[in-house]
Amino acid sequence: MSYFAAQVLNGLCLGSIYSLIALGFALVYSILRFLNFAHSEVFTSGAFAGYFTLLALGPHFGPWTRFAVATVVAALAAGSLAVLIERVAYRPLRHMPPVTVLLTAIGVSITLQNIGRIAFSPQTRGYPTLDLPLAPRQVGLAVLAGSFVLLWWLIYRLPAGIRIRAVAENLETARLMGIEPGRVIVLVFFLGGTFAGVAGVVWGLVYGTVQPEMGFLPGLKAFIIAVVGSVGDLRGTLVVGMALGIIEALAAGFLPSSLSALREVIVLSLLLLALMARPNGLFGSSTPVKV
Amino acid sequence: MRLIHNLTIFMLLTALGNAMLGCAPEAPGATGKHTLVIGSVLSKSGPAAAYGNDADRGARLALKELRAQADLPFEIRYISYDDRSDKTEAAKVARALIDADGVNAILGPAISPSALSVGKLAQERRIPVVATSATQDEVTASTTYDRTYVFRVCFNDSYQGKVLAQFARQDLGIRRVAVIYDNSLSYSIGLARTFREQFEARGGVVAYEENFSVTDSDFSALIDKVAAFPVDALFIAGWDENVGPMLKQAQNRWDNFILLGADGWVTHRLLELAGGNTGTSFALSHFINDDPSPRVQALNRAYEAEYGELPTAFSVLGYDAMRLIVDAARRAPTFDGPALRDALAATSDLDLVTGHLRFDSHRNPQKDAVVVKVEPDHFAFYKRIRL
Repeated sequence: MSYFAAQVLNGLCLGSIYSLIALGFALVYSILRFLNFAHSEVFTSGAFAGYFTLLALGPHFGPWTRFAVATVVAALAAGSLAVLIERVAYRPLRHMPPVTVLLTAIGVSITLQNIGRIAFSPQTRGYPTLDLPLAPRQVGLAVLAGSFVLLWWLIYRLPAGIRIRAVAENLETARLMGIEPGRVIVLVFFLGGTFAGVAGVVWGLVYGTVQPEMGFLPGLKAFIIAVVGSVGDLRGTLVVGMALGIIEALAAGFLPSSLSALREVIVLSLLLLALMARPNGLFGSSTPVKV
Repeated sequence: MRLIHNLTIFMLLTALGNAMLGCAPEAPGATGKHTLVIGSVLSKSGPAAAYGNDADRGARLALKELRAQADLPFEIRYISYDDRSDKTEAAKVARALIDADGVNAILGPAISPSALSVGKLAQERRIPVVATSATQDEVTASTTYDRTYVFRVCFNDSYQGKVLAQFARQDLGIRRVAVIYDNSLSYSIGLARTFREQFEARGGVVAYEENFSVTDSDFSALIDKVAAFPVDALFIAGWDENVGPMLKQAQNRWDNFILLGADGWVTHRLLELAGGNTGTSFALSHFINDDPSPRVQALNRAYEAEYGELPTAFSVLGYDAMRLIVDAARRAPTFDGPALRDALAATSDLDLVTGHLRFDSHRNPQKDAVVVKVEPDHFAFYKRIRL
């Protein structure tokens, strides 16, 4: 494979991880109109759940079994954490001004990071190596692609998905049509959480390490992707996420080594420019809306 | 009301009494006994956590053994702080140790960036520092300053670069090399520079230089780029927390290179993070477990009994640093800064686990370096080198 193609593949993998996390942000925003900052920690919790599951299963089980079980456990653990956060931190503030909820979200994020540091020690841990016949990147991409397909099917083909889209469009009207917004909200948090958990396991598999603060930078980028992709627009989130991943990988691969430290700057500057040009994101209307 | 009044008076008196008790001199007993206060600034969390935690364990084991000695004429108080692998935090906790805890000496730091900031502070306050694994040359002296209060128990980077360059050229016959370094760490930048100078001085060619950052987790672009280089070997100057994942992510793309590493490689964590993908690699260490000397074997046993695992080079450096400080304290007339510093500088007949200690004019020890072969699950002794 040519060097360029290899970097594009890296970028697709990275972009998919970012997009999957960003979709969690986007889903919650579309229903509740606020950005769940604690989502980065949900991602981290998925990675750790996957780590402990892989350790617990040990080499006696086949590598595919271990990976599959770890992914499912991570998805469920992360989804459950997301639901718990909603119940404990956000539900009591349902009718408060957005600023209050935003601050709460940041507080939850910091709390969870520090709980992680205390409970699991701040040291980096290595993901157990799995003897899979395919390269980790290929497995990762397959899992991520499968997740997108699953998510699309859930949102656009299942009745639950119709309910989500209805509440996203107009909560009051949906309520009048007989949909219980409370249950939809829980579902949305759970869904976003499960996919962030899957992204966490794929991260561990592809990059090999996990530590309690690992969610910060990917979460930040996913948050920015969600905003630039016009939060609430799932298509937009996907496109911007992939683009960001590819740009980051190409910047890492082709910048001269003296400038390689600039790649984060380049990526984030591009996002900044996009937001300055279209404050509602690339796929939204051009009138700014305050979050 | 009367009751509350009386209760308040009672509590105040009790508090006052306790405070007065606390002011009593420590260590009842023989006259002349006083307390040596050693503070440590070690990276127990963050990317350099392996180096700091190992050093702390080694230091505590040495402390336990020293306290058990019947002829120790003073008590030792040991206070340990975490610098989080950050030089600003290191300076902050060093200041707390000097001002609030009144330490007589500082053990550590384990990493060069912290050692630079702590060394500067300690030099101003005239408190001796014994760094465990901070190898950058400028920790003890540079072209513009000489930090007479800063010592270390490990070899420094100019020595490392020389040893590695010689080993690569003469023992392995390597001619063309690519240097990969961490552009956010002064340790790595300095080491890469020293290696390049020494390697080229011996007729080798540094054909490429690539870099990464300590915060990176994705090395795929670097790996792909380097895999295509027409070189015999790669010299990777970095901390274990980056090199480990780099090796793991490289899979088989770097299998046709010999990999060379420095002292930052030699920890359990690197082996764990590399996931068994260590290829043909050599690294430089301050110490190796399968050294047959009885002192090393005794330490292996004691450390394993205490902590359940074998000591690493970094544990042993912490152990040696503690022994060095206490040995100097025995010889010093008092524990104040200048006296303790002079006693440290005068160290001449001390047998430490990492070798017979002799300081050069810049308080760097003259000692052997050990080349180790990096196997998937342990480090194996390869060759001892003394220049």
